[in-house]
Amino acid sequence: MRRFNFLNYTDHTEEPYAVTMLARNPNVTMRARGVMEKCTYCVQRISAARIEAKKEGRPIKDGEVVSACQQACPTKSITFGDMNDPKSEIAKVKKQPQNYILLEELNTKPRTTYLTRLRNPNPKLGKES
Amino acid sequence: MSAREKLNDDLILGKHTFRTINDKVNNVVLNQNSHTIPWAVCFMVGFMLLQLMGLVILWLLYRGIGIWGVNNPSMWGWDIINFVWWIGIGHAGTLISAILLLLKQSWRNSINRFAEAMTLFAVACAGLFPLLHTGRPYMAYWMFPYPNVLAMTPNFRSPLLWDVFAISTYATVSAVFWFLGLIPDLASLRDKSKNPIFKGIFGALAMGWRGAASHWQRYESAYIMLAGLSTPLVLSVHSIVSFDFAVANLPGWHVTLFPPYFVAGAVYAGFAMVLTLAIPVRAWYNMKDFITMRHIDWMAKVMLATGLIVFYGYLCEGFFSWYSGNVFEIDMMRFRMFGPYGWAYWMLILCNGIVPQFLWFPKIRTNLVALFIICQFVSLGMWLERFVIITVSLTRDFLPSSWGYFTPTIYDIGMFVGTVGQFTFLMFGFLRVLPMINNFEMKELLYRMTGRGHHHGHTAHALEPDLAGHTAGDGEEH
Repeated sequence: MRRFNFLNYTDHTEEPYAVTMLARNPNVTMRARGVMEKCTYCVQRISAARIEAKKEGRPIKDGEVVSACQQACPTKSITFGDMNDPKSEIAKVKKQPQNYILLEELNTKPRTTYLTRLRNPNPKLGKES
Repeated sequence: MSAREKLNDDLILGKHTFRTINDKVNNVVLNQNSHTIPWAVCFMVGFMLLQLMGLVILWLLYRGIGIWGVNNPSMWGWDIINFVWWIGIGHAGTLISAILLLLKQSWRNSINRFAEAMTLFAVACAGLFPLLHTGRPYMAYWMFPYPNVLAMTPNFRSPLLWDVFAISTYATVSAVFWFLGLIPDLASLRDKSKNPIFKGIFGALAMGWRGAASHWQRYESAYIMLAGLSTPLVLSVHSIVSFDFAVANLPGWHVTLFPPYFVAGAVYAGFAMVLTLAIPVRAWYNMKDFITMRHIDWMAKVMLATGLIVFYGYLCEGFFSWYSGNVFEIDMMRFRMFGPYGWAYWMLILCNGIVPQFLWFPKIRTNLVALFIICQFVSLGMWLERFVIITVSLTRDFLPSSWGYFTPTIYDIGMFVGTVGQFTFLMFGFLRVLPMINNFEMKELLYRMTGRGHHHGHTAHALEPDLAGHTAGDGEEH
């Protein structure tokens, strides 16, 4: 989902700016007015991991890049990784039958996909939550 | 102003000679007493509203476009509606000046000048909206693909970028076309003005025009060439504007019908605006001999024809959303008709579907008061059409989680009213400083109507110009 900054929501001149910055995502503050806000898949974390990997002369390991939402999620419901690597965690998750793309028929090919809630359609086995 | 005037096939009424036409057209510019109270009122009101727009823009630059009613599902609000509306209004000018020229329609001669001016001023109003809507207007030059150290190029797959090219081409070609057509008339004003300052200004603008045969020969070929350039623009500009919507994957927007339907709507709205200006101005400046009831009748007929195309477009939209069997399309149409903006849809059907049907009656087409009122309905209807298309689709897309509602703020209203003021201000400023009627083309028309130098007999029958006669045929008398 995109959000446009219609107004200057972060006042960069105000004193408590440093504190608000820490309270939110420390690497990314809200951009100035007139700029689109959109998930970057934590591009700064990907870059950092890529630089480290390059220094050590190896490819980025699976699970090395952890997006901020993934890190913060208490139920660990977010997986992030390299979709092109068939052995990666994300590739395995995407192969699961309950993986689905929201509004897939529009053919916009989004990277973010979802897993349906596991349901128990058999009442004999217990009540559905 | 009598409400109803007689219909006559002559394109110039009354007893006119080259001198009387020349004096009548030039007098508006050269004799400052020819401007009366209506001029002053329109000019002043326009100027006041222009100041209001200045205030809104200042506040907008300081605060951001959040002062408008735009919000997160409805990222486009009145700004894009007004943009499309103004661009559409400009189209009549280009149609009259380019397509009617190529089709050799002599009735364009008396209306083309101010219709072209209208195009320019309408584009000037339209251009403000997307410029401000970028959010950072001071970065607007980023929309052009210029070499830069940011390693940034605009996305050529985005219709919004096509818009940048379409509108800037349109504005440039229209301005050049308009100025080229003015040159012989500016020379006439230079020769007739007694005030040395005016003489100097008109002389500089006339660029050394002496009316030599070689000048006319070059002029005619340049004019025809520019008409050829402008003709595809009449169709392409609004097609591209419609791509802003049609290319987006959104119910109600993703429709192949949009380009022709937008172009027809543009011509429709444009002729309504030409008539809105022509009806009072011809009475105030007593130009009834040149802008005759025949002109007005034909413009009303063009409005009726394009209005029917637009209405057919509405019917198609309704039919195809049902025929598609697509739940999103069907629901979108339901929301348009009976949703929170249902009132706008039915107002639109009234303004663009029902009211123009009155134009079938010759008695109404020649009744100036009725025609003026119908034109206001058409202008409102075309504005509502964009409102319905834009607002309903944006606030009712696929997921109910991203639904919303759009409410305009005083800044939306101030901006819109401000552009109306800007348009009025520029239009009435133009009436005072430049000839509103194409002086030399009228004299040429008179030459052909009276059959001088031609095989044709008289008046309306001598209307097909042939190019050879067109080149040499001006009885300029300096």
